[in-house]
Order: sequence, then structure tokens, then C-alpha cells
Amino acid sequence: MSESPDEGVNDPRRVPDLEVDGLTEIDIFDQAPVFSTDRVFWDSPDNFDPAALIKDLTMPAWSRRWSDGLCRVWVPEGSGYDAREQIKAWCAERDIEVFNARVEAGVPFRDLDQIEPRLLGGLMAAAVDWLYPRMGQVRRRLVADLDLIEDDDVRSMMYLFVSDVTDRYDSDREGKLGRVNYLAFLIGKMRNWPHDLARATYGRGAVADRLNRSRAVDAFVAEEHRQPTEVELAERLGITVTELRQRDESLAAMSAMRNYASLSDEGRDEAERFVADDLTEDTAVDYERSAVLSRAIMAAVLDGPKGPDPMALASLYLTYWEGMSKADVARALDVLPKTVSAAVERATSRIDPEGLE
Amino acid sequence: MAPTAMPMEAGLVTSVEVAVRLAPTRSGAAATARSAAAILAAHPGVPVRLAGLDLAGSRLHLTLAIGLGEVGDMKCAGSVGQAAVTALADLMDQLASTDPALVPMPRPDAPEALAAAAVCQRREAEFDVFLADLATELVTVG
Repeated sequence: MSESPDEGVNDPRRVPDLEVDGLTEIDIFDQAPVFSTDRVFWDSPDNFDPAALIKDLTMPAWSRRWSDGLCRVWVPEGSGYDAREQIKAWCAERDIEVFNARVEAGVPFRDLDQIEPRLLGGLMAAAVDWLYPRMGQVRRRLVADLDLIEDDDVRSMMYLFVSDVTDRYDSDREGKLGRVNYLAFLIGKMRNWPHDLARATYGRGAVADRLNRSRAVDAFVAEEHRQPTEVELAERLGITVTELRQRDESLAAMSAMRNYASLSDEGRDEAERFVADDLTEDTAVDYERSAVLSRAIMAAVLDGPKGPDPMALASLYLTYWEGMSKADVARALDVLPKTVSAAVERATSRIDPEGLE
Repeated sequence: MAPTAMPMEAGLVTSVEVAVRLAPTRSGAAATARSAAAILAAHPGVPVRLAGLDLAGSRLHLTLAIGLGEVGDMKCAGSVGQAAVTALADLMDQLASTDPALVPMPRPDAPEALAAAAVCQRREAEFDVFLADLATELVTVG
């Protein structure tokens, strides 16, 4: 297993293509061409392998187990809703419960069973070998946001994640830097992995509560330079103290809130330096958008309470451009985390949203 | 970039740099370098270095690392930090046509950083003079 020597290795904005036993990832994925399908997926409390029903469907179908336990069947594009009804009927005849059966139309799929298992396994292992040391922020977020997950667990989780999403990899997709290769695709998918996993584990509401609570505390600390009382926090969140306590109990149950800021979607991993954002956006728009955002931030930093505010700029820059956590920034600047929060809040509260449009 | 540790007599003092990328078209590169040099010359106390030099399609990426000063100075909004913020704001305002944007600091082993380092090795003058020289070179090459 190795990186292809002739493409992109020396280009910092392009991740390398992978090789397994002398075969490039293109050769390997060519064994199972990608095509457009409808995906039917559902929950079932019964221990049931959806592969068992495939032969009874009236259309060609494929199935694959993902690590999240949901049942998934892919069928040719346009026949998803028909397949869903057939699946429901098939399960009903056998007393298999089906919950929340949904159809996602027009998703790329490749039947990974057509790829020689040794090559597929080698490719996924090579991808994890490359990604694991470069996705430090994703790893930190997983450990911080999900109880019972330690850093030692993350490598195997990453392998499962890679295994789950590989059937969606569309090797024909073109980005700014040419063909979107396998690693670039995985990096894109991994950006939202911790957030999606937290939502799947705790529910959307709990994750939103956690974010809103941390933002309210940050805002209060920035203004008052002390932690808010329960009454003050409840008032800021627009809820009663009783509701606040109930939410806090839920949050305490789901996590020790070791690093609530980690749920922010900001920041980038080292690996993301290698790929342009989503790889498909128009370059000119990217330039303009970055410039507008930077100008708005500079205007806010320039207009600090005591004139230009270098501390706010440093805190913002290290957090959002260098992807450092609040704790890391605080350590680097030799200040308390709340000082970093206050500095960031000082600047962001002065950003004129109209200037960003 | 992560804060840079600068060796000092009394130990290590941490400083912070932010990177701003100017992205003029190739034909406008020399004029941009000249303008940047003039703007920076108006802020003589601000530490600046060329952190990246790269071509991307029709654009030249000229990445400048602006020092915000030492952490201790920054905490009390010291003069170096304030002057740096002002210089950055001036660059962004006056060179708006080049879409100036804050960007992650180029890694030292990245080609754009190596290209910048190679150019900087030839630097003997003050930064603004150097940038003006670079502008002249760009005109010649262009």
C-alpha cells in the first residue's frame, strides 16, 4: 500500500491517490463502477439482514451493512418508492418491524462486493493510515463529544466510517483540482462526522441545547467577566430556571461537557489543507467570499473598545483559520479560556452582518 | 499559524503572526507588490515577512505574515499589535481589488512557502524595499 508517486504528491492542495499492491485506486474502483440509485433505508428492532429480501424484490437491488445498524437497500434510480412499499410488505409478512422507512433518490452507489476483498480492505486501510494522523481535530471532537469514546477507539471507528461511506464515492466527480480522489472525498465526509454522530447519539435537540448554552455562557462572560448565575443564564436563553435545570440534567447525563466548544463546526484539520473546500465552488466566488469575510472581521477588530484589538484578532485567527481549540489558543497565548472567549465575542459581536451579504 | 516561539535572551517569548493573502491577477502582480510595499512603509514598526508565493490559475498568491507582536504586549493591546492590526486593515482596504483575505499560515514545507523562502534569501534591504524590488522582478518576468 502506498501513495501514487506521480500525481499530486508535491501539490499541497491535492491529496495523493492511493495504491494497493501496485494498483491505483482508479484501477481498484473500476472493478465496481459507480451508478445512480435510489436508497431505501429504515430502522428495525429485529436482528434482520436486508440482504435476505433482495431476491424477492421485482427490481435489481443491492444491500450493504453499515456500522450504524440501519437497514439499507439500493435500487435503480426511479424505483425507490416502489421498492419501499415492497420492502414494507415483505417485512410485514414475516413479522419484521419497519420504522421510519425513507427513500433518498439519485444517490451514487457502487457495489463494493465486486471489488476483490483484499484490494478493498487494503485501500480502506491505506486511507485510514493516511487520514488518522492528519484528522486530529475530528478525533478530538469525537472524544470530547461522545462519552465512553477514548482516543484509542477512534482509529477503528474511523475504519468503520470509511467502510460505510465508500460505496458513495463517485470517482467521476470533478473539483477545482481535477478528479476528486478517494482521500479528498473522505476528508469532505469526515468534516461532519463528529457532529452527525453526536446528533445520532443524543438527538438533535440535546446537541442544539448544548451549543446554545455554551454560546450564552460565552456571551455573558464576555460582557460581565464572570460566570452567569442560573437565573441570568435562564433569562439569556429565554427559558425558566426549572427548564434550564432540566436541560442541564440531560446534558450532564449525556456528557461531562469536557469541551463544549468542540461542537462548533469551525476549524479545519491538517488534512483539509490539502483540498479546496468542496472542490466544486467557483474560484472567483471563493476569493470574493473570503475577502468579504476577512474585511468584516478586520473592521470589527479595528473598532475595539480601546482601539485596534490584536488579542481579538489573534484569538479569532488561531481558532478559525488555524483550527485550534479554545483551550489550545488559551494555552498558546498564556491566558484563560474565558479571555479567549471574551476576545472572540468582542470581535464577532461587532461584525456587521450586512457587510457579509 | 500556531504562535511562533522566538528565542530571546531571557527564555522563549511567544509571538503571533497572521497570514493575509493578496491575490492579484498576474498582470496586476507588480503593481500590487508596489502598493503593498508603500502601505507597509507607512507602518515601519510592524513585523512583516513574505510567507508564501504561488501561482493559482490566473492569480498570483502573495501571502504576507504580519506579526502581532509578543503575547504579553498583545494582551494589553500594545503599540506593535495595534499598529499591525491597522496595517492589515490598510492592506485590505487599499488593495481590495486583489481580494485580500486572511488565510492559514503556509506550512514551512509547502511549495508556496519554499518559493517565498527562496526569494527572501536574496533579501538584503528592508521589507518594503524588498517588496518593491520583487515588484520590479515580477514586471520583468511577467
